[in-house]
Amino acid sequence: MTNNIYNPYLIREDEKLKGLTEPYVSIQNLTKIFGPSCPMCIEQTGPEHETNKCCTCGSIVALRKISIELYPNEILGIIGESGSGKSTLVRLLHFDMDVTYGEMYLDPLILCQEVIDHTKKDIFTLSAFEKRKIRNKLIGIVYQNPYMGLKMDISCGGNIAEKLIEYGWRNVNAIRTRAMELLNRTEVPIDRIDHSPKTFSGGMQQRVQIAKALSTNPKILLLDEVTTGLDLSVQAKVLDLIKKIQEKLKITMIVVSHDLGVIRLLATRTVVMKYGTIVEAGLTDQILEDPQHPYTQLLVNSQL
Amino acid sequence: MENHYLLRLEHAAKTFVLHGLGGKKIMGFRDINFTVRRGESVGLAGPSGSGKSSIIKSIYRTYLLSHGHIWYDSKYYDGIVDISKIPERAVHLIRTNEIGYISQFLRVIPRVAAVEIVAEPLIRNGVPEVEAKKVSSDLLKRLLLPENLHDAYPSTFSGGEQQKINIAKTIVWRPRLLLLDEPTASLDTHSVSIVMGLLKELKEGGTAMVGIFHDAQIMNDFADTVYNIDRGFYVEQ
Amino acid sequence: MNRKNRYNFAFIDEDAKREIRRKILKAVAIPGYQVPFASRELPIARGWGTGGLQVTLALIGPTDCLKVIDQGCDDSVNAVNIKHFVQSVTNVKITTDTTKATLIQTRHRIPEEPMNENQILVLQVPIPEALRNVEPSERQTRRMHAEGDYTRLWLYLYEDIVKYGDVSIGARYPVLVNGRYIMDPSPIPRWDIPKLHMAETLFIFSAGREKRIYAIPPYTDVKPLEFEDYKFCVEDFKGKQCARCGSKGVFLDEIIDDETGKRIYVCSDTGYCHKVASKSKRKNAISQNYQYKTAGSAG
Repeated sequence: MTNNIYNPYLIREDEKLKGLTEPYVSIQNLTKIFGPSCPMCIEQTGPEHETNKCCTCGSIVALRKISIELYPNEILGIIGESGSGKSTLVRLLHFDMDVTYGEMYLDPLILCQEVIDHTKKDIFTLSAFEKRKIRNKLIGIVYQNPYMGLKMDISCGGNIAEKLIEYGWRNVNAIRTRAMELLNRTEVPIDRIDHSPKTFSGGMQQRVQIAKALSTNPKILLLDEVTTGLDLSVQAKVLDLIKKIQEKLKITMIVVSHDLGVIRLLATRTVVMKYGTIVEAGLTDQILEDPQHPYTQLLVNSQL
Repeated sequence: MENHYLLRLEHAAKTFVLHGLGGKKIMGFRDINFTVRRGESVGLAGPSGSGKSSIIKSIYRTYLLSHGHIWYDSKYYDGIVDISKIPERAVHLIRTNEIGYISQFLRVIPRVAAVEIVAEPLIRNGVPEVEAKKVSSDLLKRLLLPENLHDAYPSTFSGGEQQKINIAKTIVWRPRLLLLDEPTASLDTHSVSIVMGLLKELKEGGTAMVGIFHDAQIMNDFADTVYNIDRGFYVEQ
Repeated sequence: MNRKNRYNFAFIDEDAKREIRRKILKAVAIPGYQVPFASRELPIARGWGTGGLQVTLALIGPTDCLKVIDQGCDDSVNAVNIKHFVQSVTNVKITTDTTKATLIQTRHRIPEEPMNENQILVLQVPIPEALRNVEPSERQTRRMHAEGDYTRLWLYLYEDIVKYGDVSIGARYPVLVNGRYIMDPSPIPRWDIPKLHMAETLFIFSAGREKRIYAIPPYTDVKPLEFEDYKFCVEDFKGKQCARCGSKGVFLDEIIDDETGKRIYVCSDTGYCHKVASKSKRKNAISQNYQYKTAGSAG
């Protein structure tokens, strides 16, 4: 080696451990049915029936026995057309609604005592209070529609404060300092901290949402179509921000999008959904370049 | 230990099934066998469409193998593993730490500066940001990328300049196995010779390589062994 | 038979009293929790103290001594009407002296004089739900109480501080009772909030229109919501004193003299003011006029 152009550190020894840890989140048989639901619901729906409406009871099967594992520090992409259950999945993981059935286990390492004592317990069976505690400490979410994630009648700083207050912060100055730090990181002008997000542009609202989601240093970040509806230049900035946050803070993320380009840039692994079912899962480039399932092939070939 | 291989393909075969065309099957390659040792470079030659790129992509797990095995001696995962079978998580680990892949196209997040793209894998592995950027910047300088472009966005670059970023962002972290899919196609001869020099340095450092080069001259320069692939079949050389 | 005697003692029938008493017991057992009750029709309109009146009627016995105040004033229309009504259906003693009363019904004030364990204070409540400002849905507020999810209220205080530099809530300052429920203390001024903490008296809050009873039992921990760096504080009457009785350190009403246009202060609690004034014989400190003007308005 003649000069120092190469990485002088090479790979550190502790990196060895990185890939072989337990999954952070393990979701099993997650099912969500909207409607009365009957025993035939699962059998009569799904990609093979080309519908997610049960012909016996008329229920909509939004998610059909989904099993996913999330590992530390990875970005999982979820693609699929509208109505495939992507957003429902994300919202169930954020406890925005109740599951019909299914289990979710969190790694005991991240479920340390400061959050909750139950290790190796199905998270969905916990009380609403405990769920909120878990959500508040461990999970951040960014919705496609800023109106879902932000309160428009409250200042931008107040929106961030909400999560911190829920987490137990009771010091106004500390809350404001933290909010400014987050807004700085997400490149929202700090002098607008006391303005309502209503007066912000779409990209800025999205960045406030990200700041809010990051406020309590979550371990898992759920991104539901964050760049949809933003113009290309703003989209690029948001994507860059997400990637940077992931590198710096080592947050595990789920990125939901119907834009294959977004998934390609962000996700390491990707899950393809249709009619509430996972039809294919794999490494992102494998999904996009060597799709196995007919639906994935159709999706990839439909790309502009 | 000397006999130990780093990469070994055993009866590897890939068939594409196109469901959109009524399940039509297209053969990528079949019955491919070869071995790569540490510090060895292997070239794949053959006409376009013969399946060379598919082999490289299968080694990188971008393509899933239909039959056969791709054995790889992993340092950070589980010793000798079949790349086509291990969990995606492990593949990701190996990709970020052991196997580098240089394609003909640059795919990066828009509006990120060139030097940051190159420094990213180093920073990810714990190198301090300032140092990582310096190392990256030095490497780009060596690749004759004008210094005023280091802080520019690669999407505005010419094809050759983009390709230099592409090469730099992989070799900067010295992978154990380097997969090259025509990395020099859009480069001028002077740049090509610089790239070949860098590859030679890597090789001396123990990096094994599998590469595709259309230019016979470059191929001879690069490869210790060349295998001819014709219509997916493996032709002994 | 006298027309008044046709009614049961204390107007409402015994079954209804029993229901209200049971609800009061439950409210006492769960400090700060709003217990729904079947609010009866009374000869006064909803919103004029029917909640407090029902509790008073359910609790009152022939030996009780009643005091009714309206924003500190014994002589306002609302207070006088309620007093007359209760006396006509029970024939109990009526007083304006806080220390002599066993049962005090009040609107928007707590008397200045300290009360003891043998007294009960019944507060009329217009809006029993402390979270109503931040959440219009009753279903949601109940959930929020059940789960102790009070973030929205805290956020409201935060926004207030950001906007106005301090919490701008004057009356109805939310309090945390017994470390569990956040409660609306009825529109008493901030001045009265500390009196709820570890008090010797039982406080019963009742909203007739909203059909809710809740209580603070004696010796209960009651804390106003406050941020670490923005503490709760009461109204500042530093350097001011009652123009009638000369009291300091009491809750004062600010009034403007019609004739001189001057700004003067008088005690909000008229019973207390009279007592102090007659004791110190300083009645002449101010002209007679102001006695009438101190009367709080009903409604």
